[in-house]
Amino acid sequence: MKLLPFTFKINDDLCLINTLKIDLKNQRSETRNKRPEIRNQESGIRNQESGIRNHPCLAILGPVGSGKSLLIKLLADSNLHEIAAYSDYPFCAYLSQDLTRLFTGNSIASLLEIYQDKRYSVGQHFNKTLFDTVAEKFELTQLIKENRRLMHYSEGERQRLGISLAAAVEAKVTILDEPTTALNIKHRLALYDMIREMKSRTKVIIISHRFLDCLSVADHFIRMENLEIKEHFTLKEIIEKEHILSYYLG
Amino acid sequence: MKIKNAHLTHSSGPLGQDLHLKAGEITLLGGDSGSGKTSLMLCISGFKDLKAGEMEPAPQAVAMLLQNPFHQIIMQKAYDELLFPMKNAGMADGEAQAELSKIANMLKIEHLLDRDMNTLSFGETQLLMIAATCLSPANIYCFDEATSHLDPPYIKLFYAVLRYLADKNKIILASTQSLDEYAFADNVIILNKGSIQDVYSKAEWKNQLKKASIKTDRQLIINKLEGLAK
Repeated sequence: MKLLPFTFKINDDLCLINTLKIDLKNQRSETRNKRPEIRNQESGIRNQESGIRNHPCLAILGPVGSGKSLLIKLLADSNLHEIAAYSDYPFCAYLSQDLTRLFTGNSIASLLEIYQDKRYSVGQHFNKTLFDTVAEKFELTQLIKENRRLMHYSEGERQRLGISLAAAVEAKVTILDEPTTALNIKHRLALYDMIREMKSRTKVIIISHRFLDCLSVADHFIRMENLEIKEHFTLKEIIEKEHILSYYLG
Repeated sequence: MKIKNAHLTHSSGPLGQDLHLKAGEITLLGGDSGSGKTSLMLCISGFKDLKAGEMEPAPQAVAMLLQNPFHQIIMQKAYDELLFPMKNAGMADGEAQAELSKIANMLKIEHLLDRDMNTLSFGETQLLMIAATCLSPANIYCFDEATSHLDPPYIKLFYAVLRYLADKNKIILASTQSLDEYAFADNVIILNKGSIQDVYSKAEWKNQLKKASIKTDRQLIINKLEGLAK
């Protein structure tokens, strides 16, 4: 079945992440088109996977180019449909990092029409009432009424629309990749509230280079570096991680 | 450069005040989404016309980094991407390569230079395109939310490069949503619905933050961490 941009299948059993570090390296190498190998390797992460699984919001930290988005793309199976290992997992809502690629040319009304089309997987999971509630929170109601072409909205307005769409897709896992791009502080705080509410019905995975985003919503953290997961820890443990604090606070 | 009696777009009101951009200074544009930051920069760069008003002198040689860096990629290899704007302007090879290594060193992106552009992450692409914009020979440089996918250490490096350009007597204009970044600028312009709401100098902006008790990201993070420690 062909899936729409915001919705992919995902493995919600995060213990598989430890096998992904091998795949990530393959992805970035010259043999990009080769089928990535999946090896079962025991590691600390696997042993403590139940700990990770119990936390409703997971944040992925790491410097630019450390593989955060790549990990998410692999989990969300967006461009690796040949990896059968991830294909049996439930549906997930996905807010991509690069909205303009998904949006250009459509009006909001036509986009909403596609999102409500029951022929697609996304249509079967899309909740219009939920969308309206979230859109109101992000001050989008007037903009939606105007129904301009999407390219005529500003990046911040498109970002808020993207967040509302992803939040209105009812799935076991919701992935938000840099959701606070182009948002002002007021809308960022609204987003934090939204994520806290969402946690009761879906697992949230958030990537953000803004440390405040992760601190405000996440219960558990993964730190990546050079395409590998270096460590994982809970929110309480973060105050002891001096290397992370000095990285973000200078 | 002065922008007089300007009106940015059809849907917004007039700019309200005349805008004076000085060479050698970094000016930051702030304001809510849809407030006209991008429109103002697009007008200065010549991608868009002002609905009304004029710019004196008319801007010539403007380098602009768009909000989505993927829209500006021309070459396949990162190194060629950085070299292209200078070669295009007819710069000699040796000079161009020296300038390239200087900027690449300042932004710490030397390790990316031999990569294919399509294998880079969003943040890496943004860094590369910041470098490409800085390397374009121009008098005015516009950066539209260029730090949106960068983490704090790289944001510092970005502003260091902007300062390097400003010291060469260029006009620098950058937009951002992050209050923390205003510390790096000489002037701050806050836009609202296509009009200038306020213009602050660096010192005035600091006072404004205190007066309105607006907290920066940094302060909020420290508060959170203190809460966790308890």
